[in-house]
Amino acid sequence: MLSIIRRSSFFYITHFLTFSLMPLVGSRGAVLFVFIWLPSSVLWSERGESYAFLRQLPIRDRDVVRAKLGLGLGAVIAYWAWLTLLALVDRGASAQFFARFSLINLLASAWPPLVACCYLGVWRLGARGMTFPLLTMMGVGAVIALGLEMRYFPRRGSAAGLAAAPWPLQVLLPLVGLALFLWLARLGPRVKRENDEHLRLP
Amino acid sequence: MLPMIEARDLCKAYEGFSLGKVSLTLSAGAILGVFGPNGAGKTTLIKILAGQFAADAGELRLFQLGYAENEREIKDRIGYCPQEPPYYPDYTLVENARFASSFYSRWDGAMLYGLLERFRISPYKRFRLLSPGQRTLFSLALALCHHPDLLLLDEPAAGLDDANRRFLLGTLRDFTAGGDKAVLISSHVSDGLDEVAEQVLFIGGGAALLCADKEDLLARWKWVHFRDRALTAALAARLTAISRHPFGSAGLCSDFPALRPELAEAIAAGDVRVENARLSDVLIHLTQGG
Repeated sequence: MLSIIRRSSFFYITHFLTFSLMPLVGSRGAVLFVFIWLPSSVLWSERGESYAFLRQLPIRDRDVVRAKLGLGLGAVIAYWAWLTLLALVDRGASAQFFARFSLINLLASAWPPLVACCYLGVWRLGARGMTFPLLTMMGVGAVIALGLEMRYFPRRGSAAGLAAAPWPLQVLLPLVGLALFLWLARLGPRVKRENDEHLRLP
Repeated sequence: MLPMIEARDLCKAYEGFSLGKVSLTLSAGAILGVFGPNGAGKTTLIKILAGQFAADAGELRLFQLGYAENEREIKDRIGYCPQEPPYYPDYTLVENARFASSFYSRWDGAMLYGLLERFRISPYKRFRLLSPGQRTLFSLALALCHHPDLLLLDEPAAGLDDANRRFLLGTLRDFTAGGDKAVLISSHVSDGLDEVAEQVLFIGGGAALLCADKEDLLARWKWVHFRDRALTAALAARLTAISRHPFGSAGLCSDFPALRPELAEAIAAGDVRVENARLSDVLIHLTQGG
């Protein structure tokens, strides 16, 4: 399993390093960058993947799913931790920090299911079939993040509302996100087994 | 002897193709050749056997184990050489092998290097830079170097030169010589792999046409050459694929031992001559009726 993680992690590491530096130069849309680097990491790592080779080896689909989704989940958790750390360093343990932490937390709830959906799409449609949806997701993510950067979006509104969300929601939403991820992860081996498109050669 | 493969009524349907109810048994020490024309279903069958995908229906057990519960154990004991080697194109052969080695329990790196040296392929060459023949050889080396108990080879002779084809035949004979290992190869009969096959399974149009011991099959299928009027109409009707030639006619007989007593007199008189059929003759007759 480690070999699979090692092989797939190249694009995660390069993307993570690139995008995690951007908040340091004061980028406002950092929480939305995930919608750019995550599909991009999945796209480029999966385009070079050979599931036909993996199928040949003595490893179960369940373990392949575990390795791939584990890597994706690890990456988004690391990014969440990084953004939280930056907010803490920037604001200290102040009310402003908690507002930002709340925003990060609530948006991060969507990341684990997003990882799982990207992979399920690849196993259902193949890396080639998922190229357009993933590129679209990256494009939309880039437009929103850039819009936030250039202040096309109102300062108040949904983001401010999320930041002020009550604490039960702060706990509940990430838990729902993780539960959804686990449910999608359980579907993974079946989706892999029932679809051959991802077995095409890279 | 315990069977290495027990397959019963395997079916698989795709858009525009279906493999229907193929059954086979392969015991240790045997080499089974799966022969058939292009698009017959050989690759589909071998992929099902190698666990590349599951059959839609039917039963499959390898080493008395089912894929559903024992996928790792089964694949650890199989050496699979696919028709289109699926290795990472931008990895060198060493990198591909190192990746594969982490999954096998009986990996033998020295054997891999030895085989690559034998094939004169640099282990540091990227996979995508290999010729089709070299890809097949690398695939064969990977299939062999984890000491499998069962080899599943999908058209392994395609693209090989004569020397490497001979090496392959020798390797297959050596592999099964101990009596505890088995080989299943799919091939066009013209590849020459029919030489080593002891059992044959003919596939055509997604269906199993014939499964038999090769020696028995060749003892039954014969070419009967006869002069005009040497055979009665009833005897001639028992021959198929009849063609005329300058000195008479020739027809294919599918049960020569049954026909022999009735031909004995004509054979003795020199009016009938019997010649061994080749597997390709049988296959062409079964698939095309010619």
